[in-house]
Amino acid sequence: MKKTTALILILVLALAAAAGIWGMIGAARNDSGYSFSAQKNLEIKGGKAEPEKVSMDFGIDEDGDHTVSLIWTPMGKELSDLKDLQPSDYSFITGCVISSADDPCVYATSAGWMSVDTTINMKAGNYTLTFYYLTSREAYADFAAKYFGTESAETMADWFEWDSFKKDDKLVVSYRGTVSAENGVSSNLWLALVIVSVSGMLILIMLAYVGKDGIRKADYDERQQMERGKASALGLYTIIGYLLIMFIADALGFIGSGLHTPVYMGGLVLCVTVSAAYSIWHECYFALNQNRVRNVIVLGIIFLMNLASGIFNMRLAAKMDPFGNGSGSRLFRVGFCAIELAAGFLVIAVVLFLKHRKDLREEEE
Amino acid sequence: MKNLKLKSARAALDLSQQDLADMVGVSRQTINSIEKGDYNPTINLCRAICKALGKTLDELFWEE
Repeated sequence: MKKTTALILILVLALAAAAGIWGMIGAARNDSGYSFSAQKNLEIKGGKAEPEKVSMDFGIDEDGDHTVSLIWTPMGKELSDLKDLQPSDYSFITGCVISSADDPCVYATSAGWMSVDTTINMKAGNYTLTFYYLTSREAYADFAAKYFGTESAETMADWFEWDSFKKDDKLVVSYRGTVSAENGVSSNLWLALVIVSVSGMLILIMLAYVGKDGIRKADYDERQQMERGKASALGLYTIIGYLLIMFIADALGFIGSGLHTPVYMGGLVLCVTVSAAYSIWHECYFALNQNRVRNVIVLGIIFLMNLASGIFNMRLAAKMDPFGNGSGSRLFRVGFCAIELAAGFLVIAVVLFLKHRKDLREEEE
Repeated sequence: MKNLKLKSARAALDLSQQDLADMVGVSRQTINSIEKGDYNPTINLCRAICKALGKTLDELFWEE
């Protein structure tokens, strides 16, 4: 690509990024709505929550579409503790309702611990946000019938199998949330424009200015350049082979739905690890060979952090339902991915260490 | 096949692999790979090595 063409495109993208940032600032300025953060005491006694509901009042200044995001979690409690408190295996079932003087149900949802980015049309005025704690199948069915319709109530209630809260406890529940107006283009779209523009600029800079004939010549000799090519090819063949095998395994039903994220993440980790290990072994991986001892230590720390995160999340997931649809499954996927990353970093660190020892031996000879 | 001629020519001048690598502008591992026969250098690199060691192409790289 000609450098002049690249420069023009980079300038266009820079303008787009600037427009995106300007748009985000504008969207933030124009945002009007309600934002809250509160804590309430909740007591679980004889299988029932006391109080059974918590309400908060708020006002909206402008008519129009509003985005609702709500999070409610017991403080000082690990997710694993919730298992003994929750009616189902994987969540702390709560019904959320936004009501006004004119409309008893402007917005209703039921979820475990959060409800994000739902767009609803709201008129300027005063509203009440209420969290209902649904501690039995009947309570949930009643809630569903009232807010989602009688036809779906029984089916929805069947999603959950529970008796009641399992033990008595006192909770401090933290509530956070926003009900914000959507004026013009959403701030998320402006953010997407910024990300795409900046990514495009980086790619263009890489293509046009960093390379064989660019401002930063690669400091590799002919053998190293050849080996780098082989390393890239090896990484590509690895991911193609891996994805082919996983595609067949998936088609044959060997991969459960909860395993898709870690399995396909595993392909990326494997591809990068194979490519990096080959590059390190053939002395053509740019920065890692500069200060190997330091890099082995850094990689070791990253490995330990990922391993700790993986074990922590997997242990929590094991206490819930790792293959369900709730928090347990999410924690399981996060834990699995962290362990895959840990394995990748460990392999790279070990290869770097072995290569270092091999080079020391050769230098002594 | 190992390139013992290159190794002995380098040793005769009391040069380490790193010294020779610095002289011809490649990494030490590349010189090591050539000596071990793991890598066939391009003609340009062969010429640079010959020049650095004061040898001809035939003397260092011709297999008899």
